[in-house]
Amino acid sequence: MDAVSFPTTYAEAAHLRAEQPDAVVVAGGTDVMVPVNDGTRRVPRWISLRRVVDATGGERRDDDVWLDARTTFDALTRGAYPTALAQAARTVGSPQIRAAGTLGGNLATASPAGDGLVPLLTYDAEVELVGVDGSRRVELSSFLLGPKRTALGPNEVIRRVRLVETGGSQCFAKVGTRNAMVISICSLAGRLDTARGLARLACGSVGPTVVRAHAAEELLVAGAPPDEVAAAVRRAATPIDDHRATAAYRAHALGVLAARATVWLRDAEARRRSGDVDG
Amino acid sequence: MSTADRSDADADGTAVALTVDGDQVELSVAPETSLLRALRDAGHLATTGACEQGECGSCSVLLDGRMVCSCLVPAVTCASAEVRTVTSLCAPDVADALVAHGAVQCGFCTPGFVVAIETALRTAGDRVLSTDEMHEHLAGNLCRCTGYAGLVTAALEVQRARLAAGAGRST
Repeated sequence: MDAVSFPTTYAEAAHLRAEQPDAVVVAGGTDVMVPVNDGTRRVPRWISLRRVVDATGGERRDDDVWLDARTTFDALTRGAYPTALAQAARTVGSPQIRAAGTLGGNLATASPAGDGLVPLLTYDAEVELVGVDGSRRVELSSFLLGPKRTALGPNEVIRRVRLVETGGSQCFAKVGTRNAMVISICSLAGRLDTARGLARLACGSVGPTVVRAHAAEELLVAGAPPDEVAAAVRRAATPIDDHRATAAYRAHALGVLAARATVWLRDAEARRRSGDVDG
Repeated sequence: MSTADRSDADADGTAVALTVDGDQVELSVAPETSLLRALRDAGHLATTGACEQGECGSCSVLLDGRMVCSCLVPAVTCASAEVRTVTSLCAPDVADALVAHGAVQCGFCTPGFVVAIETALRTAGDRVLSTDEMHEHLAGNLCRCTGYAGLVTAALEVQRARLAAGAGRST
């Protein structure tokens, strides 16, 4: 059997997965090649998405934004993409990693530190999966099951993601040991639309998956003090000690990010409503 | 499915036809071989490898025009791709500036930096980059000798010189 296949549609890629259970789907390769290079992961054959042509690129219909799974982080920093997602994309890896790494790869890898996943949660993202019998849509929070575990079936591939971006203000922040090439110690994305009474807060690297802080969102909308919003965000997190940081540091840093985000988002909304800046 | 542009070279390797620095080449690779390893095994030794996990940038190449870490690309997926390495990307002005600013010491990171500097200057086009912006462009390349000051100064100097000469978008 061939060492590589080049499907031209996502449906064809799904059929290839069904025919070749040991094949690995690859787009940018930035995650999957690391264990391959150090010999801890074997890949007998690849299904390369390089020649897939049924892409959907940044299409917007009303509040819905559709992003193709192969959208690179570099592309997300350049086009008219949702602000927090673009900000998060700019913090991913390096120019080399951003040029290759894709949103679909971030989803499939399902790291709790996936910088793209944190803002996606704030846009109520749905993941569209294509299988041999058609496609289905799964809410992002249901798609991500744990570290490196997703609801992706063995004969499915990720085709695109739908985001819902209404008006309002957005932000993303992360904590790491330096300004580049950093895997998040903790991260936070926020969205506030005071006119609609809508808030979203999501955090990364503080639990088995990226996680939304529902109770904190209500406090953010209700005008609670930043430290109360921060405390509620911390309650949504279940950080652990690992080689990057201690659980205690993660919880502390997450609270700092949440309190800052509360102020940023409210200030941005106040400026927006007074007409100083465009949404 | 399109597999016409590659064929099995032998029992151990898959033949992958691609363009490297403008030359048509055929590499024989295992499924897990990275583009970096495949290039070096085929004698294209100018591109260096170090971390092989996408952290150091020494193996940077242009793959179909995009700067990537060649260690993170499975070589078999590069069939019919156009790869440019430091060999064809190293312009004399960049080389001279790096030497003039003491930005080449042990030299291990240099091939990756040359690719990254050229990519930064092309991406910037006619826009003059600040020191901070140049740092961000070069953030994917590690150098353990120079402390980066010479590298960044050299890159900025080349950009100023090219813009002054009206060659900001030179190829």
